Amino acid sequence: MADGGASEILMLITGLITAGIAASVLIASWGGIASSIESNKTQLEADTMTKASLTSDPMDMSWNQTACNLTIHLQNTGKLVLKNGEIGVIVNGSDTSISNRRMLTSTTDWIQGNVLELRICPTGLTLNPGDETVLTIIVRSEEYRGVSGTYAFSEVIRIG
Amino acid sequence: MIVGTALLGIFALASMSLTESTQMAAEIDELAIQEPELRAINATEDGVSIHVNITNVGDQNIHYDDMWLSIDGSVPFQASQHHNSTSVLFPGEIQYIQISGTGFTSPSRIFVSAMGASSAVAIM
Repeated sequence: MADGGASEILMLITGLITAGIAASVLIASWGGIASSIESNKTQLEADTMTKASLTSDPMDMSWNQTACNLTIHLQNTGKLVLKNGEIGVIVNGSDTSISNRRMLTSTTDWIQGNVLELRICPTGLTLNPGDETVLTIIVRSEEYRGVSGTYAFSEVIRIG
Repeated sequence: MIVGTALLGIFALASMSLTESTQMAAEIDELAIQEPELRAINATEDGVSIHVNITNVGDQNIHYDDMWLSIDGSVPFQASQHHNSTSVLFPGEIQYIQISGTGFTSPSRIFVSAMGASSAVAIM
């Protein structure tokens, strides 16, 4: 009888210890999952609040073949400040270099509603008036809770 | 007991994960940017000024500071430079804007954009 009681207590203690270890492992796992979810959430929030759109007339884009100069205007239509030094522009699948950039308003920061003018040179591309091509823009926001949001869009433009 | 504890733990994790995901989706949905909708109704020119009628056909207010106009593909300018009697184009409102001093002799097209919405019309 006494042996049986001791054995049961031993099993109970073993069970409690094992359950405690299992609970600790699950809590630790949850911590990792929660951290991962929070990180993804912050990135999603930043991406959701990052946006830009074309302010230039897509039917009549200013292009100078000799100077290799395509002028585009982009408005910050998101909720976060955009980095005007970190913009990617692809024209008809070709990479471009940005030769000049300026804000069309008196502010220097690319805040919501402000328009940035970019003069870009699509590498090795020959365009003629009336040509239609695809313009792809990628913008990045200033940091929001430690992460930057990104936004990309493509639009068909006609060379004026 | 061990199996029961593990199952309860897994169930708790799954419940918390589901709750968290639902809450996250709701929070991100609140942050989503609502784009306005606008339309350039018509535009005319008399040799001195360009006269354009625009309307807000969406459900978001449009600030004239956020509205940019471009004539024949030229550098865009803020609508508020030529319209300062009101600051907001409300949903359903039609507004007339007179644009003077652009230097264009016979412009043919005006393009209007605001926070992702855009519209264009031929200048008659």
